[in-house]
Amino acid sequence: MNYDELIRFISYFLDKIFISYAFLIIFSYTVLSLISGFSLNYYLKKNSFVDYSVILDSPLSPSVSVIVPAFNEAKTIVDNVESIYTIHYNNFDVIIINDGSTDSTFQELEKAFQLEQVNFAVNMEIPTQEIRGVYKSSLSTFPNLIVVDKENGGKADALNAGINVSEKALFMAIDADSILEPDAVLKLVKPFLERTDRRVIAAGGVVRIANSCMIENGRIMEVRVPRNLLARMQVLEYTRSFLMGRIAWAKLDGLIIISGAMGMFDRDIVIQSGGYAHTIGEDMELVVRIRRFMSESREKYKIEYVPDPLCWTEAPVSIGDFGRQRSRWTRGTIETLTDHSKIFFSTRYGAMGMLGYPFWFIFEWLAPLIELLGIIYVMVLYFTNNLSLNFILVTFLFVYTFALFFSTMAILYEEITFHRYERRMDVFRLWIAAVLEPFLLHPLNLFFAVKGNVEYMMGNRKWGKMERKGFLHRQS
Amino acid sequence: MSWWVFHIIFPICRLMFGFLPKESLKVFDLIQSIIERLEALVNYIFERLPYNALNRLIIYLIITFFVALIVLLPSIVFLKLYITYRDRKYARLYKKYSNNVIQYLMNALGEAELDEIKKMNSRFHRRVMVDVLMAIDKAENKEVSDKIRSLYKEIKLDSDSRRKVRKRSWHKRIRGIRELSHMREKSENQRILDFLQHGNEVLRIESQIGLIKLLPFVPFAFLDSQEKSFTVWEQINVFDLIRKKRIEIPEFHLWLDHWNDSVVMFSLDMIRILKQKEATPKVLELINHDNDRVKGKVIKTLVELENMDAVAQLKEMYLLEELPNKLNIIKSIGQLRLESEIGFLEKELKEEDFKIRMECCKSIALLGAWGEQRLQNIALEADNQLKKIINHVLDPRL
Repeated sequence: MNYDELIRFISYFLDKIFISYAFLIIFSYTVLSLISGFSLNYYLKKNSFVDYSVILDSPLSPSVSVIVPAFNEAKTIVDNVESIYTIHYNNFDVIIINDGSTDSTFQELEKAFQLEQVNFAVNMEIPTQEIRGVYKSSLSTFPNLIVVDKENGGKADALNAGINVSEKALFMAIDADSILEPDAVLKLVKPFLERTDRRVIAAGGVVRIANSCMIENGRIMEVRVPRNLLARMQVLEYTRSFLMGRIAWAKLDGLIIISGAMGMFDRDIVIQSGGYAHTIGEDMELVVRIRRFMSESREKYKIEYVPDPLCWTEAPVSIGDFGRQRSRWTRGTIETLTDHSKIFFSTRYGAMGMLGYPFWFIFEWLAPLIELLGIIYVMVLYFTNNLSLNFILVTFLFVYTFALFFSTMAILYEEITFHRYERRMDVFRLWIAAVLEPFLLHPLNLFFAVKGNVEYMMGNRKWGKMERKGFLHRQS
Repeated sequence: MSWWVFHIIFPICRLMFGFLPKESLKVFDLIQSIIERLEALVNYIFERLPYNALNRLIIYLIITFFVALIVLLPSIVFLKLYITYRDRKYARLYKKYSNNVIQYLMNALGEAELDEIKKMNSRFHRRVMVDVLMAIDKAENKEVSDKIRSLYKEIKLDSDSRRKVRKRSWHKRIRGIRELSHMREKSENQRILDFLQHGNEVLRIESQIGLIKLLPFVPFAFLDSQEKSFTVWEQINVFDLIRKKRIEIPEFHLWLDHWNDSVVMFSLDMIRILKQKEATPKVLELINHDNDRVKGKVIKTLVELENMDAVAQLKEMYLLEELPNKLNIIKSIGQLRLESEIGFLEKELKEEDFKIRMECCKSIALLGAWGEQRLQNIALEADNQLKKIINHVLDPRL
């Protein structure tokens, strides 16, 4: 075999790999979107008969702790705590963990809620950094507010401290900047109540982007598409991911992530499986670990996903913040996948082992790397005069039309199901974002995902800081 | 006649037999030219690509996605407009029918308007009317209810509801069950009974609730044949009905020997919440139940029924129990305020388990000022962990 023949052989082989990979991705996403469509249809019909208010004052309803880790959130923490108290539920407490903030987070809480130190004996079922003190609000309007002041140990450590302090059957972990829908707890509790022979160990809900939305007294009053283009394109991303991805994964029993912005868990199971791990992708890692724990204990279980938008969060609007977030997500994914590599194609772990984990490995971790390889390959072909420009254009058009079709489907799903964007122009703006996304957001995503891989190899385990711009508040 | 021939029959014949005027053919020309151009485009692309099946597949997929996009975009616009139109129409009709029904209840509705309502044909209109009738009937005034039911029958909405129950799709069946049970229409009871074992959980719950309303003298008969797990969600819905509807509450001990543990647990909860003391002997019989979750509920129920005699038995089984039931037993001693059991509680304080120590301290504190004093004395010689627990229990803010 001479040099030219070798090049041709390698080229033939790589062509097949890239094309097969592209077809496989498109096929997987199409199947997932179809499953999501059926699931959403069933859920909406089912939900139209549900009266959630029966949970509110029933003595049979479970107790819930809302756990909020806070690190340097002085500017927004008081508003955020007040917003949590707008939720509709009776049997709940709120546990704020000040994770050794270096700003005045604790002082703000102390002043606003008139905190008093109490003699709280914490059962350290999960080891954490030292707890400096446990405080309770002396205001009658915040009867169940507990603030834990502790040494800095990271988000996972703070959440573990909250779990130790909680005495409730279920806990809901949320980010300090999350805005909850008033019925978020009611809707997340319901799957736990529907337990049959399979124990429900966790439930997640749809997280949406709140940039440019109107907020009043900690509640979303008017939903708008973000004015910032980067945030707007992330709205599309979130819609696709939650409405067309995770719902299908929950249906297939292959879900391996519940967003750290909001998720509800069975406290006993989390404690038995060791609590949150000190990783950068602690939300995904916890779900994988509790699933592993249940599978290895040979107990029947399930993880549920509620398709309703239950939580709103702020998306990064600067490329720097966006990059830090995406590279962290990539590192978190790699860390979780490598820590639990035993699951890969293992029948012991059911759909998680045979579907969920392989999907994340092949289409989440490897996708940006394969795409980068593809770009390098095209460049090599170009410089060696072996590139068919027509073929590249057609392939690009193929991927682009699919991306646009898929995003348009996501907008259609949103319109059929929850239609939260009431203004017609908002839907049009979203679609324009879908047209631009493959040219603007996707290259950024690719770059930061590759960067995340490199950083992971270099041993970077830093969380990174995102600057909050704050939400739009309606003038009273 | 000539108008019909020239304007209807001739054009149809031309369409069917191809004798079309030149103007009409222009549309087909346009479509044909679009197809030809598309074909030319595809051929142009194919000519410049190596000929193979993959390339063809890619081109056809691009066309498919493109056509799908062209279909999807107007669909989104149409959907947005339709949803707004439908919601507005519903609100308008709801208001109109609410006024009509209120006038009917006050005997102030004119004959013409009543006739118009009776002749209502549109399914959407009839659906709004049922919603209005059910909403107004929530006032639970017998006279109002009777009049609403008679109007429901006059408009023949009952046959609509029956038809819905017989439909294949589960959500339509549920609507039918809701309407019939609300209007106390018993004609489809057998069919609803069949739904009790249905695989669809929502349909099952609605059938249970429907039957509770439809069979007021034997509302919980469905429990006898409950094969599937009776989920907490179902229990909450049923309990809500007990509270709101003031239906005849049965003696729940009748289901304590049910083969389905979820029914037993529900019955125990009901005995506990409704304080059915006469059930105590049958509850006691379950104290050694195989299922730990049932056993836990038995302990809680016995405490709520203030059964002091059970304590000796609970203490006997304590050692062999798992942690959750051990905690339940300790808690029960505290809740029953049994000073005589202080020795047992103090002995358990020597355990290393945090939860057991915490529960013991709480139980001792429940004995009142005497118990609190006892805890303070214990704290003097206690280890660090126990001291913290005692301080926690004695802190009135916690």
